[in-house]
Amino acid sequence: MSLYSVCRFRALGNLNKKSDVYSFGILLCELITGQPPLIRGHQGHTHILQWVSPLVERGDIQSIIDPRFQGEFNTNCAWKALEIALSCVPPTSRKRPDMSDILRELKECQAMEMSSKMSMHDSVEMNLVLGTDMAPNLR
Amino acid sequence: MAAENSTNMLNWRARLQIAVDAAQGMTLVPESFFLHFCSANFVGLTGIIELAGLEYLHNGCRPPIVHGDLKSSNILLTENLQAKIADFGLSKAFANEEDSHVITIPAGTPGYIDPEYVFKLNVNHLSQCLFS
Repeated sequence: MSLYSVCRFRALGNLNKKSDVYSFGILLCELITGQPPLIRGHQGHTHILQWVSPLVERGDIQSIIDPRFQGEFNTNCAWKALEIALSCVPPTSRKRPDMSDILRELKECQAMEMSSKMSMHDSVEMNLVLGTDMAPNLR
Repeated sequence: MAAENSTNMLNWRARLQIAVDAAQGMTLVPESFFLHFCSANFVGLTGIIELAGLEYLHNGCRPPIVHGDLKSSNILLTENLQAKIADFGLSKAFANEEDSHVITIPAGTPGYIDPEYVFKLNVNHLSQCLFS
C-alpha cells in the first residue's frame, strides 16, 4: 500500500454519514441539471451549487433543469427534487438530513411524477394506439 | 453514468429512478455479502467493488458504513437502468454512530466532497500521518 493510499485510508476517520449525504446532494443536482459538479468556464471552474443558487433565487426552474429533457418533466416534481438536493448540502453537516428521510422524500417525488399527466412522448404513442382502435367506430 | 440507449440520454423519470436506487440499495445484493460486509471485523475494502445503496449502508448495516467517495462515475447502471453504488475503495465501517475524527486529510473527489470535512484539515494531523 503506497503512502498516499495509507493517508487516504486514515483520512476516512473524519468522514461521517453526513459527508455521504453532501455527495449525494451534489449527485442529485447533477441528475437534475445535467451539469458536472465543477463547471468549466472562461474564468476557471464554477461549483454546481454556485451555478444553481442564483437560478433558484430567481425561481428559474426552466434554466436549472437539463435542457435535453425538452420540457418533458413535471415542474412541481422538479422543484421538489431540487429542494431535496439542496437540503443535502448545507455547509454544516448537522443540518443535513438522514438518508432515510431523503429516500422517503425522493419516493414521494417519484410518485408525484408518475401520477402527473403522461409525458409528451407517451401521449403521442397513446394517440396513435387510440387512433387505430377508434377508427372503425368513427366511420 | 453513461448508458447506451436509442437517444443516449437518460430522461427525467430514468434519472429520478437512479436517484431512488442509489439512495435505497440492497435489493439485488446477496445477503451473504452483507453479512461479511457488516461484520465487526470489517475495516475497509480498498479496491473491492461491490454494489449497494446509501440508505442501506448508513442504516441497514451495523456498524454503519460510510462510502466516502460518492459520485456519478461510481453509479453503475444495469441493462434495465437500475442504479447501484460501486467502488468502496474509500469506505469505512465505524464502531458506533458517533465515531469519527481520527486523522483529517481530504479524501474523495473535488466537487463532491463535504466542505466541512475539508475545513477540518489539520496540519498536525497531516504530519502525524506522513511521518508515522
